[in-house]
Order: sequence, then C-alpha cells, then structure tokens
Amino acid sequence: MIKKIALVGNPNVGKSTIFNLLTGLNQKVGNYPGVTVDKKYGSFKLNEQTVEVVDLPGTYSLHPKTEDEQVVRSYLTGDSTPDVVVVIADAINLSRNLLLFTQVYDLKVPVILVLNRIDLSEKDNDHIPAAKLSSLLGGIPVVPLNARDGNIDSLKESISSFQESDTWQPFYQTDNGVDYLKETEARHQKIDKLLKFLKKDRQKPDSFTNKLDKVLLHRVWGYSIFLTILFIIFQFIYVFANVPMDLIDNFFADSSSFLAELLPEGPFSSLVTEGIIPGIGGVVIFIPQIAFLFFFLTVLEETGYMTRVVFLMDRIMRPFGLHGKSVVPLISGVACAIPAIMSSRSIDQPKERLITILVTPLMSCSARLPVYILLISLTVPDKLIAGFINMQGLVLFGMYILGIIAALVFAMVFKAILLTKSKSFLIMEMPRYQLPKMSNTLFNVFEKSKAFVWGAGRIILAISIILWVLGSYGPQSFSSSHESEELLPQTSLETSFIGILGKQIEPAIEPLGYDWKIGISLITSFAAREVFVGTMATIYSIDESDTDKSLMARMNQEINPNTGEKTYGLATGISLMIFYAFAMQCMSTLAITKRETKSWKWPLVQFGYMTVLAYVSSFIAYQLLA
Amino acid sequence: MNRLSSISLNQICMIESVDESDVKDRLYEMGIYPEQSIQVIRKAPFGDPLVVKIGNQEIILRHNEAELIIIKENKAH
Repeated sequence: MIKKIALVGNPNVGKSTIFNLLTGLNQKVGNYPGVTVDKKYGSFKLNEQTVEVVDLPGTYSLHPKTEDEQVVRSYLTGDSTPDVVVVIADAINLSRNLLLFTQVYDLKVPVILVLNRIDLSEKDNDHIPAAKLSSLLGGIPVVPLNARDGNIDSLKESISSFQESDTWQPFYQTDNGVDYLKETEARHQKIDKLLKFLKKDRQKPDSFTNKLDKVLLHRVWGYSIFLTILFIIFQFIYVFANVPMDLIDNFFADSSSFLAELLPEGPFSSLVTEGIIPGIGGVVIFIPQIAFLFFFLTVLEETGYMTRVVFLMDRIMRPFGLHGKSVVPLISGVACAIPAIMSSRSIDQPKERLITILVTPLMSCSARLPVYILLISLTVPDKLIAGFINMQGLVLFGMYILGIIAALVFAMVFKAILLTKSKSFLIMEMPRYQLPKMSNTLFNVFEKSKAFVWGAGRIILAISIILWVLGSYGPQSFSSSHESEELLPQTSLETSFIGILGKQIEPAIEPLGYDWKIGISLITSFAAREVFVGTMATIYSIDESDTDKSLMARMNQEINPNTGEKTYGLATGISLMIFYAFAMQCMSTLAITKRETKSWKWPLVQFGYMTVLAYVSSFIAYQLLA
Repeated sequence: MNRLSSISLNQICMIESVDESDVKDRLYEMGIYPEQSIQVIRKAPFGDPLVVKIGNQEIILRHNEAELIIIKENKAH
C-alpha cells in the first residue's frame, strides 16, 4: 500500500502542475532543517486512503552542488524514504531528463517515470512508446501524460497498482572513486543508446518560438516590448489594486469604530481598536498588490517570457553584482518590496540572491508616494523650468531615479563586501513559448499571499502592538496620581513614550533639518512609511475628515524657532524625502527578508545600512541646501 | 584552439573538451560534454549571453561558460 510519494524532476517540467492537480488546496509549506529551501507537501485520497505527497525542489541531478540538490538527495537517501518516487520527465527533452531519472533509479528506490508534455512530443513527430521504454528500463511503470489538460488519472492508477519490481539492476554501476564527470558522460551515452529506437525524424525547431524570439529578443524591439509590458503591468496594479485596498482600509477603520462603541472604554478597547485591528489591517492591505504582482509575474513565467527577460538583462545587471534574474525583483520593488523580495527565489546563486534582497527596498515603492506627494506640494515651488518642465514633477521623477541609483550602487558595495566561494554563472534552459495555465497562476497567487500573511503577518502584528503601547502610554500613565489602579492610555501622542522619544532624538535629527514633531513621525513610520501623513495629522490635531488640505496649511505655517524661517522649506523637504527614500521604514519588508533568508542577521544588516545611508544623505542634502 | 565563445552564429561544431571549472558538472548534466554537436543560435544584444542548441534543447550560457567549451577544428561538414 502506497502511503507516501515524492515528486522529483528537472526545473520547468510541470512538476508543480502535477503537484497541484494531485493535492488541490491541500498543501503546506515547511522547512528542511538547516537550509533555506521550502518544503512543499500535501496529501490526496486514493481508493479511500490518504497518500502524502512531497514536492521536492526541481533539480538537474542528485549530485549535491546546490542546496536544492542536497535537499533532494538527502530526502531520497534519508530515514523516512517515500514508498514511491515519481520522476517527472519532459517528453520533448527526454534524453537529458533521463539523467536524473537514472540517478534516482540507482538509489534502488521504487520509481514511476512520468513523461509529461507527451502532446508536444507527438506534435514534434516524436512518438515515445511507453511500454517499450518501460521494458528497456527494467520494467518500471512509465506513464505518458499531459498535465496541462488537467487529467492525471493514469498517474493515480499507476500509483495505486504499484508493485515493487524484484529484478532491480543498477542502470550504471557506480564504483567508489569514479569521477562524477565520467559517470555523467557514461550515463548520457547509455541513455542515448537506449533511446536509439525512437524515430529521429524531428530536428525541426519550433518555428513559432523562433519567429517570436526574433522580435522579443531583438536589440531594439526586445527592450521596447519589455518596457511596454512593465508599463502595462504597473498601470494594472495601480488601477486594480487600489479598489480592494480602499475597501480593506475602510473595512478595518469601520470595524475599529464599531468595536470602539461596543466595548467599554478603557485600555482593552483601545488595544483592540487602535492596536490589534489596525495591525491586522496593516497586513491585509498588502494582499491586493502581492496578488496582482504575482499574477502577472506567474503569467510571464508560465509563457516562457521571463527567461527571455533574463537573457536580455543579464549583461546589463552583471557589473552591479546582480544577475539577469535580479531584474524582476528590482522592478517589482517599485510597486512593493514584499512580493519583490519573495520573487527573488528564482535566483539560484546565493550571493546574487542575497544582494538582490538587500537592495530591493531602495527602489521607491508605492507606500512612499503619499509621503513624496505631501512633501513636494509643501516644499517644492510649482514652477516651470525651461518653460515646460514642471519642477514638482521633476522632483518626483528624481526620487524614483535616486532609488534606482542607490540600489545599483549598493549592489556593487555588497558585491565587494560579501565573500563567497562560488562564482557566478548562467546556465539555463530556454523554454518554448506556451499559453499560461490559469489554475497554476491562481495557485501561485494564493500561495504567495498565504506565505506573506503567515510568514510575515505575525511579526507585523507584534510590532504594531508594541508601537501602539509606546504611542498610547507615557510615564504619566504609571504615576500614582490616578485614583484607580488601572493604567490609563495617554490622550495625546506628545506625552507618550513615542512622543518623548521623538523629543529626545531632536538633537540627533536637527542637523537634518527636522524638529521633534518630525522625529515622532519618523518613529511611528517605522511600521510603514505612509503612516507619516497620519501621524502629522495627529500631531497637528487635524480633523480626520479633510486631512490633506488643512494639514498642508498647518504645516505650511510652521516656523522654525531657531531660524525664524518656515520649518518646511525646500531644504527640510528634500532632506526628509531623501530620508524616506532610503530609510528602512517598513517592518513588513524586514519580516519578509527574515523569512526569505531564514535568519535575523540580514534584516538587521538591511535596517542598519539603510538607516545610515538615509541619515548621511539627508544630512548632506540639508547642509547643502539650507 | 577554438572555443565556443568565438564560433560564428549557426555553425555546427563538435565539442572536443570542457575546461575545468566550478560549472563543469552542470554543463555535463545539461548534455554539454565531448563528442556532442553544438551550435550557437543566438546572441543577446550586447553579445552576451548566448543561446546554444544541443540535441533538441536550447540553453542559455554566458560568454564565460562558452569560453570553457573547446571545439574541434572545423571538420563538422
């Protein structure tokens, strides 16, 4: 009886499609001890029996060079080996795919060989008789299928009727001490000999892919089309993510005020309505952007276009210590650093992946936009330069450019600082174009959103509650002057711990052109940058109903007592915008960096270098302009 | 000695050997090993990376990787 199976295969053979078809939504993500590779597993019912499935990472071999390969190898040779290993091979590239198969087979584990994309190989005029192949491979079950049409009954049948063969013979006799390269060559040759019986009248390239590549990889058209696709995607994200984001925002605001009326006044009500609910809201609000971005990224990935982007961009990214595969995370960072960092998974060199994760938050994400807009309209004159360039628009554009430059410069810095043994390389398959499969795309969107909520959500919620405590209580809450024993929340932000801290740091931020009010906002916007606007409104006690207009008017009247000039002049405005461009004021990003690097070290490094960068650059900017 | 990195586009060649390097294992696993015919079918706009065709598959390699692959003197035709 089969109780546990494992899926093994080369990257991009449709392994996750088969995993999704088997398990449906019954899947979980866990950890393998000691490595950063996620463990994907799930279960399904087969003849009333529950069968566990482990989806092992896609690899080209079992020879442990990468973490992925180590994971697959140690899983297949470990203590709790699966009852059957299902090796998924790409039928249109059978000979190379069989290398991994023969390695698995020679571990003497029970195997089933799946020939996926059999429809495409038929189209190539490349008939693979499964029965013949099975007999050549020592009688193991060979299951041809096309996972994209959604029917994998033949695989299920093969699992339920699986009988371990008693005539196992090694495909390749491994003598200890034999060179791995010699072994690989010998395996390839043996596989080629074995596949001799297949008709060889193909060799005609996929003309559709070829024609499309002539345009999409063209030196002019290739880059123009790439930019156009990006432009369209960001338009979609901004237009479509805004609607659910507003709904979520309103929903949590309404829930807060509803509960505030329902619950008896006191610290508990305040904790729930000002700490917990906004904290959860702060997590959920990111889901639309994450979902939309991953929807588009998965579609591009599924069609095969993403590999073309890597091909086009690799040479351009390399001088910066980045990889062709770093382009997607960096560009996604303009929408939101969280999904961007999650998408860095596809970079298989650890150093380049780490550099990408560390610098992605320097790209100006959408949360910085409200801060930029408020400060630009407040401090940058609405004038035309050279008769047609609006200065405010130019500064906003400049902020985005600044983020890109900073990301590339710091990538170079980390390239020089971080030491690794492994050299960078790029060896990857160029897939054929195909239509995206909607169910795969939606699965991925669901999985990424869930990973964010579970992986980062808890940390975000915890920090929100801490910030609420610090913002609601001050030293006076603990003084004995109260009649009751209970701690009373402070009524004003100014006298809270955060308010006091904001005043305490005033000497440190004065050289940047900030006063204690801005100091308070800097502390509260550690949770998320856009909180700046809200905190400013609270400090200036602006009615929530018409925040923008009156807040701007109040901030505009503010006079710096030391200089006698406006507090929010051009120098302070630019300095503050630079601070928001560079500082790591997003606990969600830190939480996701922790999740992706599996260590607190890297979010701390990220926080440290970005804070220093923000401080130093704002200092220089203010001192030059003031 | 001819290397794949200096072979002109679409010329079919035979691999003589592959230089020692960290990526030699991976190249072998992908089917790039001696006595196989290989062809550079495309170059990226800045001349790097390349797409090579080996057997039925197309593989992206950087110039650095292509430089490791030594090609037999032209007797392919």
